[in-house]
Amino acid sequence: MNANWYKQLSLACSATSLRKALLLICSVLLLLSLTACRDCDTLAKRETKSNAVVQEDTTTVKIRFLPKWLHQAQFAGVYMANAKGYYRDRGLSVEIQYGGPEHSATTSLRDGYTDITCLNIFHAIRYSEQEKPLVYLAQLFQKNPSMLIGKKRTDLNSLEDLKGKKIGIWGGEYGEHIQLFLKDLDLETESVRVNWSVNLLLSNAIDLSNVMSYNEYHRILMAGLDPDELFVLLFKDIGYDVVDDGLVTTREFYENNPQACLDFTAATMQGWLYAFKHPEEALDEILRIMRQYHLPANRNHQAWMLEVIKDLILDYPEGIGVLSRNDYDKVCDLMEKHKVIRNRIDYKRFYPFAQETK
Amino acid sequence: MPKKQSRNLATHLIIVTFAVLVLVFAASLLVTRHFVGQVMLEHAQNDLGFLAHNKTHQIEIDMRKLEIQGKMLKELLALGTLDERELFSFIDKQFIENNQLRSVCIAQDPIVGTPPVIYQFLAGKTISKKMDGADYQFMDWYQIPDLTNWEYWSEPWYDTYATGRILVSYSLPVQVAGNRGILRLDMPLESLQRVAQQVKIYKTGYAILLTNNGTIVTHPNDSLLMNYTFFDLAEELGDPALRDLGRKMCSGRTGFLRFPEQNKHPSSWYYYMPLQTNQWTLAIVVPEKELLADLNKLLWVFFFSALGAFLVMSGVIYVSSLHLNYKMKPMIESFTRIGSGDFQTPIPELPHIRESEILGEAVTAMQNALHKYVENIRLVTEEKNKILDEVIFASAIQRNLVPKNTDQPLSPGRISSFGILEPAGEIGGDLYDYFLLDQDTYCFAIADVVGKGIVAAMTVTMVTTLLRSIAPGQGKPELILKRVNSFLIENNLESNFVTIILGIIDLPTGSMTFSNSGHVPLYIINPARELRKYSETHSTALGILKNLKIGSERVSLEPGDTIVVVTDGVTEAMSSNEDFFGYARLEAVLENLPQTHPEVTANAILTEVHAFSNQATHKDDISILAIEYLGNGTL
Repeated sequence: MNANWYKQLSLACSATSLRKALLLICSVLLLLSLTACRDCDTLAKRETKSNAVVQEDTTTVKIRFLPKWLHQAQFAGVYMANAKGYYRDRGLSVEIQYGGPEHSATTSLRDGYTDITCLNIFHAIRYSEQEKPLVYLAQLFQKNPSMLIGKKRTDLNSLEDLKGKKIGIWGGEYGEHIQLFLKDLDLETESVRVNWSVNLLLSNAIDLSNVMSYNEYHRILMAGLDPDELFVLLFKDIGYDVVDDGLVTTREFYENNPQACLDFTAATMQGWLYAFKHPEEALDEILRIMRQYHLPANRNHQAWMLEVIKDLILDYPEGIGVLSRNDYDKVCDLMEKHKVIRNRIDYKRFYPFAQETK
Repeated sequence: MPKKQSRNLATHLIIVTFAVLVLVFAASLLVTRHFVGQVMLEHAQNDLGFLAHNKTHQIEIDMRKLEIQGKMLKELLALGTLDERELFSFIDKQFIENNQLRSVCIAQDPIVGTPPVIYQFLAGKTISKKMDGADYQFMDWYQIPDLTNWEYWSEPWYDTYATGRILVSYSLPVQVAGNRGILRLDMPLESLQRVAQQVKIYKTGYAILLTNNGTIVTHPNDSLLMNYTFFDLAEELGDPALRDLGRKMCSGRTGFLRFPEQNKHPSSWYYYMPLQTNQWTLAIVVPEKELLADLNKLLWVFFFSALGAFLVMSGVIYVSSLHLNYKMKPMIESFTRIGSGDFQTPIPELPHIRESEILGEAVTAMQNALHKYVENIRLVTEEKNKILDEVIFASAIQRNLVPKNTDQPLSPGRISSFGILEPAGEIGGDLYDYFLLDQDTYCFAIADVVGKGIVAAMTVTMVTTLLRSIAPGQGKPELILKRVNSFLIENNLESNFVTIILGIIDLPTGSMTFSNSGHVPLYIINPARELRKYSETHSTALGILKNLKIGSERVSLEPGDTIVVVTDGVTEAMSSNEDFFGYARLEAVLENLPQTHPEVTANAILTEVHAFSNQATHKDDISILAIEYLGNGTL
């Protein structure tokens, strides 16, 4: 029962009935506190903790959430869950921290600067196996938004044309999976580490650039290039239809606060559904936060991002927020193939909210 | 059909003048607008072009200085002859020479392991510091010139390491102490913005400064600055045309084009041109309404001038028309009287206008012509009346030639006759007659002269007279008719064809001999209403053939038998349905007579013919003669 809420929620969402989904969330959340993670090892501890949280209902559980990047629509679910009081309703006090390139998500987790963040699943698995055990709370992006973009020209029209091309790949944890994809394609390309700037591509310093469909791709379009002037390679279209960002925490935090983690996850997904149903309100909140941090607040771009992410989060039959075993295995297979990990973490240990689906 | 109300001359002239003026005005308005508009746009293009060149030049003065300073420093670094103090001193001098130079950064390849050095001019003196802990090699200002080996003008970027301001940087690859590196010179974005922001042209004209990526650096809407690209704006407004405009502006070319009114933005003209240093775009935007304000003023003046001209012209036309009307009033009254029949009305003195004089002359000529015409009509009418009188007189004579039905003393007790002659006009072409040849011989005739009018009537008169004069000596009907035929042939009369039945009855015996020359049949009806029809003709009509052979037929009459002869005016009487009265109807009348008295018989036939025929279209003479043989005076 503990993970059935995901499935029911997903069914409601797949029927594009966000209102029903919201009602469903409210009802299932009552059950969550009694039934979550009955099968896993941590059940006893979690129940104890859960009871403790329930007993301390006058005290809130504080959670620090670090966006993996600067404030933008990529984290609208968290903003809306916070703004609409979904966290507070579950006894959570969530602090939304300031992310970005200067605040590495994994470093923050390791140093105890933050409790929950979002990470690409490749990075989460590798980090969990090699550095500090992590727990995957929810799969946010059910489709892979990674793309390679180049200016279309005579020698750049197909996958084979990537050979010998200078490809800008994000540095550090942000570009790991892209490197894996490229290695797997076995094309002799020249990788150039870049820092998220599309200007290298626009000024022809590189031939192709690693971008996200919800973000940099739009910035390239908004620099005046038309889609038909671009060579676009969507990884999901060439066999790398693997999931992307998810919510993660440290095993330590999870084991100490299983109910809070569950509540945070449920409230966040509820926030996402609210954002999708009320995009203008969500955009207002996103822009408010961006302005608060003196970030360029481009409503048009944030609207694009929210719309694309809506598709990434909702359009998946297994359910909103669910990491399926199949998706997990697909990622681990690729990582094992390239010897990025040696010992695959048990699916249910990595993702304690797992519910096998038929 | 209702009579169309006529307009007076003034209204007509004003309407026509207005219509023509509107057309002429509209055409000249369009032509003026087009050509003057073209000229104004050309001037505007020149003005805006001059302004844009002037502003780009102003913007680029400091940028070019920066480029020169960068290249000088690059040369010095490449020489490698400067020690750190001399380099510091040189850079210090650069800050003084170019007050827009905010900082200088010399960054070596990270492999060397030496952090970049940043030189800043703060509070009137130059300071230098090392840039630690930053992945500078992945920043645009370093990475792009490093990868391309070309100098590079950066997009605006926020410098968190030194100045804390938004900078525009000029970077170029250099050799520092034999190592590859990048030299960066920074100037504040605001120095570029300031020049563009100063642009004020016309009433609300403004300048837009766009970077290579279309990022809006200068715009009247502050919320867009460094936040939106021009293409973001187009997408948010859902305006593909605006995106096209953005692509043109960022194409590195110079242009002047109109952007139509959309999304509540007035239609505007854009003059755009690139900055030569970094290929950014400066666009001067002026609403079309302002650009063509003088033209619009001119058009309004034009409009009101035309309106004024029209009003003045209308007034003049109206007053002139009234004056003309006043002068023409006697003429109009005179013409009205002439029109009502008073042709003698004198023509008054006409206004000295060519047209009215021509009209007056024409009316006078018409008056004279009418006068002559009326006189002619009067004479003709008098002549006609005289002729009519004569015709009436002739008619009276003709009627006197026909025996009067009251004159029955021809052979009282032995024969009774009743005839009717009803001419179609005053005089007719039919005749009937009966008279005694001697005490025991009774002669009767009925004839129809082909033709009508005077000629036919005169023929009838002559034939009647001839019959009376020649019949007593002949004894046989065919002989009498031969004489009549000869007479008609010899005298070559205009109407000389005559159909006739002539019969002679021997009263003592009741033997009747008759000849039918082309006439309608003869009927005999006895008191039992038994009808005998004698339709055989014994010759053709008289007056056609000179040697006409005429036969005859003998019939025995019994007392009480009634002979009925008619002319074709009876049988060919036509109904409104264009049916002929015909023999069948005639015979039906005869068979159904209440009694066989001649008067009753003749009147019965006439009554039926009148009832049958359409009197309005009845054009032929009708003659009916009924003769009852009473016997040898013993009845």
